[in-house]
Amino acid sequence: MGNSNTAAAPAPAAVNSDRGWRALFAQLLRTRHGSLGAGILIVMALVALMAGMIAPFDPLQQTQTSLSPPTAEYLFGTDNIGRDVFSQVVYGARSSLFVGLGAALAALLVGGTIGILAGYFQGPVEAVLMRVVELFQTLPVIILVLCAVALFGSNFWLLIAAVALAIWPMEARLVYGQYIKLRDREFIAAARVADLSTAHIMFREILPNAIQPVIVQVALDASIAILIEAGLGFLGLSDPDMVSWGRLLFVAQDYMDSAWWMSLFPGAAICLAVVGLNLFADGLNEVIDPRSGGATGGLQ
Amino acid sequence: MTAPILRLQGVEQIYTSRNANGPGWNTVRAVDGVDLDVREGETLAVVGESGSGKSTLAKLLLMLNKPTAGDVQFRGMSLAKLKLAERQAYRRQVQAVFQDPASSLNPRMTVERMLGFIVRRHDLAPAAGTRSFLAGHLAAVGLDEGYLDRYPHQLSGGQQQRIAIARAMMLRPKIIIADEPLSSLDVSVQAQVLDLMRDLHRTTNVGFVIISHDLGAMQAIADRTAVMYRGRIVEIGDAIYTRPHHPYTRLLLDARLSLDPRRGRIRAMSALPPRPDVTAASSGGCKFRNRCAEAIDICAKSDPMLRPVGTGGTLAACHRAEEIGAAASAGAPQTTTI
Amino acid sequence: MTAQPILLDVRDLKVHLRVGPVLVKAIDGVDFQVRHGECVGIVGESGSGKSTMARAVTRLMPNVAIGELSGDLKFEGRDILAMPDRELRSLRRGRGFSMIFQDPLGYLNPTQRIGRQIEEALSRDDAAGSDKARVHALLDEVGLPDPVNLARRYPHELSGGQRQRVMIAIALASGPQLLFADEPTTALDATVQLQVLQTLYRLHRERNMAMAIITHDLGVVAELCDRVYVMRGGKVIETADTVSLFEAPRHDYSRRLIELSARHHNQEARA
Repeated sequence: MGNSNTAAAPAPAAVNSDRGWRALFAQLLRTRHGSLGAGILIVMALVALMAGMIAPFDPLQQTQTSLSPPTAEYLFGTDNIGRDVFSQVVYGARSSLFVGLGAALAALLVGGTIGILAGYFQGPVEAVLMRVVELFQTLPVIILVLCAVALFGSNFWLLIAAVALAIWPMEARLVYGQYIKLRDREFIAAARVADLSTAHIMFREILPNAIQPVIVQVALDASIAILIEAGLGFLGLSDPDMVSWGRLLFVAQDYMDSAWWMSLFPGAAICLAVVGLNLFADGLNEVIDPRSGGATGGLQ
Repeated sequence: MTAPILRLQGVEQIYTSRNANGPGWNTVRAVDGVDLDVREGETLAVVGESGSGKSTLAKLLLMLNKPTAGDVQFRGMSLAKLKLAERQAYRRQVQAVFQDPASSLNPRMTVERMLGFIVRRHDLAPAAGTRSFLAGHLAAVGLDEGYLDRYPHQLSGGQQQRIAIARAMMLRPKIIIADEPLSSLDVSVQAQVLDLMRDLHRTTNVGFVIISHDLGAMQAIADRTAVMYRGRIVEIGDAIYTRPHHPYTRLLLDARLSLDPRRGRIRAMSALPPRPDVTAASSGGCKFRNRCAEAIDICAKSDPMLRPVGTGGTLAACHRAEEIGAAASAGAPQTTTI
Repeated sequence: MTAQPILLDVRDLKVHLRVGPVLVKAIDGVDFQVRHGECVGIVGESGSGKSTMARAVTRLMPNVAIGELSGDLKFEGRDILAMPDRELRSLRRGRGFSMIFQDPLGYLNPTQRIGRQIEEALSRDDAAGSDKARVHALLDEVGLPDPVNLARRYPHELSGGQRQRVMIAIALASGPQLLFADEPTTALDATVQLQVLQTLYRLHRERNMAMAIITHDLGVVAELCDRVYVMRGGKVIETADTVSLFEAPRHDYSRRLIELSARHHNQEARA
């Protein structure tokens, strides 16, 4: 007994032993989807952040050159009252991405909390909460959002809330499912037996092990949120004081056959954002696959 | 005899669930009335097959579940009535080792980090001295300090289980509840872990309650062994391996495979027609009677109580316990090992 | 025992797997034979390569990155390694080889009735009787009572031992000459294990079907097998007939395994 093996349990390559976020990100960038998605998102984020510097014109400024096709001066052309479409698209990135991410995170907050509560308390609480989740899931998303907007108006923050309302059930289910998978794990039981606090168990033991698929879902949720916002805008229900891609499409409806650039470029931007988020989620999914033996592994 | 450190009285754990195949409810009596005394410093084995309730019993002892009836007492204090401070004290004194060592360690933490939380929680060492404190406990289970920096997936099953044991021992418990600690390990590693447990017992007098389905390993280490069947203890004593008093104990002993290729017992048995699958008897009487070769009339009418039989402090729950014990000591072939 | 002709002939099998950046030599040059009608045991601890061996030979390797898969694999004289998928499938479907695994719940389709799953595995060649009759005959053969009703049940309604027997029935449906059993009773209770092993052996004799049992439990080997291969680290370190191995193991590792198992089962090692 007492054979003290030296610490040289074959110490594998650094990639395997580093479990942090850096390793995850590095792995992500090695996948095709991940790198492409991340690239698109980074570019869009930069555009949104530096809109002021990139856009040549004030997006709401009307000019005399209305309905002009793309030229050197107006890269994406102008709309019916002479606003520069390029600048509009650039500024639109701000609101669309903001709404997208904001709604996704709000959904995570609400849905995640409900999921954890259902998983933690079990019994009747669990049953009731999950029925509520199911109820919301069966309601058609568009109707929900339309009702919300009709009732509360299309103010920017209310928009985020409305979209979050539509997508939170997915987060709730996911978080709940992850929690269920983990709560009977032996290391959780071991933490309880060691008398570690509930807060510790939730945030230090369960959360880090549960979070990766949740992040994938957040990315997907953001893309859905952007599409919903675009849809609302297209129907004329978004905040009229705000430049958003959906709103641009709304205005462009009447000019579809005469001014194709008014709908093409906003549409392409929406498309690009959604594709970027989905590729990013794809890449993330690949990386957190337990068989990849990478920076994650073990639990999922 | 000293007072027991753990005492279970009439403990029950009953699960009710919706019947999947029709109307009404299913009740599963996972633990169905268990009375048990665990003595300080003893190594008690609890053996049985799946469905015997032994794992549920372990969870009750660890306060991971609350019994639906009955009482678990630690040093005379009922677990159901513990206040916060007393609960914390209990946790320090009654620790655990689980079945799957890989799953009992948080995969995202190094060993040091994981153990460090426990050190801080219980003030086991000052912040500066934590690492050397941990290194000392790792050494006690035969592991080098360097293992503190490893993640669980970098360790072998045996090393992981040692870490789990170190984690339990850190709190200097009076008793460790080990739920199938050997099942996930290779045979050669099982021997090492068994030796480790025996050493710790010898040097610190820590008691063990070991849940296992592996009678061979338990025979080597247990002071007393309790045999569970369908939520009840059907036999408990220190000589059940050589002198069983209950037919189920005998059945379990017979089911062990032989390492003598010349015996060819299975080969001989295979010529017989297959025995039908039997479920436990449902209403009244002894629950084991459908599988019992020794069942007589009274077994269908009256459920035998766990009572003293023979001279060695053995308890058995069988109407024919004395006869079975006598046949065993008369050298009936079924109970010998080779 | 008369020397039957060789059914499965494996020479110099190498299986190297790519796990992340590392190349793992799961099997590193192994020779292995099974004769008609004999029962062979492959023992080893985890990491010895014994499970990989069975899967490599039956060409059931999961799509893990395979660095190298080479060697001379002949079944009834035919080269398995070079065989195209269609031929392999027909080999698994009729008079070839079959495999049963450790965890039947994981390998049975939870949404399909038992009878249906066995039916799907039936060999396509000329068969006496209807499919249903053949299914019932198989259920009876593996010792499951009331085959007609059992065939209509779903996997989750059965006990562990019953599920394992169902898996055996599925494996037998194609009438294989060689059955691989990968830890067939490890997940079962001791009393159930006894019955399942008994059934396996009976089928082995009644059908004159060769068996290759992969296990870490030397007790299974001692009770059932004619010959044993002891594996460690991807290599066969010793092979002998069972009696010789247990009485006079040549290799230290084999001796140690036997001693530890004996201590574990609380018996005396004979060597």
